[in-house]
Amino acid sequence: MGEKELLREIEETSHMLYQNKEHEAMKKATGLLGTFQNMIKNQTQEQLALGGNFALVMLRELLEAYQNLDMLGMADCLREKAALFVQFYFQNTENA
Amino acid sequence: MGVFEKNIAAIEKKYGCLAEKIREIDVEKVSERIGLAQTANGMLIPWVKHQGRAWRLNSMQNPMEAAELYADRYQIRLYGIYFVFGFSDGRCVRELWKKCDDTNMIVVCEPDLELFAMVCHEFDICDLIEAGNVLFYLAELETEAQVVLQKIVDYTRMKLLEFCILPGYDILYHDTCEMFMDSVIERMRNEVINKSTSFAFDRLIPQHTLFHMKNLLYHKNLEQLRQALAEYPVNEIPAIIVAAGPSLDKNIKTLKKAQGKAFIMVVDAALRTVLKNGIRPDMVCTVDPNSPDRFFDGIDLNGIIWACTRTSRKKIVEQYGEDIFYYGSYYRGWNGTLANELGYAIPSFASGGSVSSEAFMIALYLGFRKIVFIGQDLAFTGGQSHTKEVVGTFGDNEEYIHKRKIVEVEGIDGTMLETDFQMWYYKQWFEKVIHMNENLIEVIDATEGGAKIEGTVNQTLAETIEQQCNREIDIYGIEKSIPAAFSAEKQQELLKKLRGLKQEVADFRVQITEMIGKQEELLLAARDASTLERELLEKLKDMLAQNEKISGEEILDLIVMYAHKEEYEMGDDIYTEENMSPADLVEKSLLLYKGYERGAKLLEEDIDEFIMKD
Repeated sequence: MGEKELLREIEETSHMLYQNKEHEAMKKATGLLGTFQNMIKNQTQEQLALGGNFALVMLRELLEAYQNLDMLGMADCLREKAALFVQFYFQNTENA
Repeated sequence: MGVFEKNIAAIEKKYGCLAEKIREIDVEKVSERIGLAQTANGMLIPWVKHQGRAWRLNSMQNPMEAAELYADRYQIRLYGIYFVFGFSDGRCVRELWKKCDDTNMIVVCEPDLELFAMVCHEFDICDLIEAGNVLFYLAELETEAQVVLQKIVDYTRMKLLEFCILPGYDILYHDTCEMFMDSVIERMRNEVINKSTSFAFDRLIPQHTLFHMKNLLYHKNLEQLRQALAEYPVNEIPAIIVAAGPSLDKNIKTLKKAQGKAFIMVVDAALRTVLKNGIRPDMVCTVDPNSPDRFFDGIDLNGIIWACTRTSRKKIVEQYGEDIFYYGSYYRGWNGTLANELGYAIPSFASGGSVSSEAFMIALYLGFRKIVFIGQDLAFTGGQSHTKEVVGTFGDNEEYIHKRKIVEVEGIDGTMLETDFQMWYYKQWFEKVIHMNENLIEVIDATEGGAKIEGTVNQTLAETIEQQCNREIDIYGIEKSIPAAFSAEKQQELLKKLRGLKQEVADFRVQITEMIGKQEELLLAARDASTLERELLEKLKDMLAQNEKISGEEILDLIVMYAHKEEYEMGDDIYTEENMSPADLVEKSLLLYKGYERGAKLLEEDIDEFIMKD
């Protein structure tokens, strides 16, 4: 998934979460969690160092909200941290 | 005036005692559990701590945008009713409300009173409190959800109800949320059952209602009995509800040992079995408009004390009703007049639709907290439908069972038993009410057979009597010593008032006839291609406004009982058919009004028969 596509997916998922569309939103959030985990795994040491612990903090926060079925917590985390992470990731991948 | 005072003043105006409850809450004291957080854009939102975790009840990023997105989820329909579970900071509800018009209604159920109190301190929610189409329902304060829902959910708008749950609320307040949704669903189910009941009994129910409106002037009511019993420790005395299931034949003889040590409340179908075994009931409950004669024929009914409501069969009351305790809702205006005279309202309950559920609610109302069931099989135990004294009353036993829609339920011994849909529904109702009152009442199922009723303790009647019936009390004597609710003079005065109903109906019929004339003209205009669309829409709007005004008239409560066919037809399509033309709309409205006109005529005839005659 490219940057634009991923950002659109984040936006759509957060909308559904704010709307408390539990079933559909959780399905989409599960997909995004898997994508983020793979992105973090695929980062080089250099990229990881550049981003500090930001990616891990985002993932931990998202996972915590996900496990508690906290729709608003997930939506906020996606909009703020996950969107930033995606932009950062693609910027650094393109530069690499 | 600060935000809190402003909110409280608005709440006081609309909800009275709720304002007092909110004032009593010291928000500082609950600050460990509830608080406010500042969002990224400087706004405040509430949070609640649950199992050690703080749950934010709006977005920390942009609460306004999150609220708008939430409201966008719902497509508002004309006449739609939206049940919103959760209020949070009010932003989501406000956004939803902005999309509504005055045909819509929003019912907000907030499960956390302390949270609501804190919100009242910090957020200006006056607009929502004052809005005529927003109704607040605080789950902690309203134990009788059905009473609130009765006013909102009716058949005509059933298809227009929608549940909206605010994010987080279904997790944080899971049980209350389920209970609230169940209450609405149950109310809807009751409306469907009411529709079938109305069709099945046609003119019988309004006729019985009129008869009882007059007859109750000469009798007692259940509030009098509740007050008389308040002097005794009724919460420690068992109320034995005797139903007419087949297992009643097993332990009816044992019941005699409870006489004078319990409140023995018998449903009409079980009366034969009870009397034939030498037991004198403290009260007999009869509600069925068509109670079969065989329940009562050939048995000595002298001295029987009855509990009756508006549906109770007139013939039974005329023949045997020398001593009656009335309850129930007859007609808003009449119940109001009686309440003014008595200084209290005649009690009314939301029951499960069966006579034993009415008996159960009566026992609770009277203050009994130990309820014992016997004959409450709620299943065809041993292939029988009823106690042997009434078998045959409903035709051949096997044929009766064969005709029913059969479902299986678990019996008290773990085996599967056959029951019908109706009894299955009653079982669900009992389980729900028992669950709702679990810390308040103890329910023993001493049926010794039949379906397992969740929430009850299963034991034999002999064991129950041994454990529970150890205090002498003459409830029958207490009941007999209570005088009629009104003096002879008051009875005459009230009868005169009641007879005034005839003129009230006649006046209302004139209004209806005028409306029919106007709507016939409007129908012609709607069908005439040369009528300007704008002009037609204006007239249609006027018609709907007048319909709304008329639908609020109290007398209509009685008239619709004669026009239920037209009312239900209206409910089946007028609000939900999206492609109705103006002419279709007027035609439907006309049909309804002609139904009302016909209903008013029938009501006048019945008033002559049941109220005007001496």
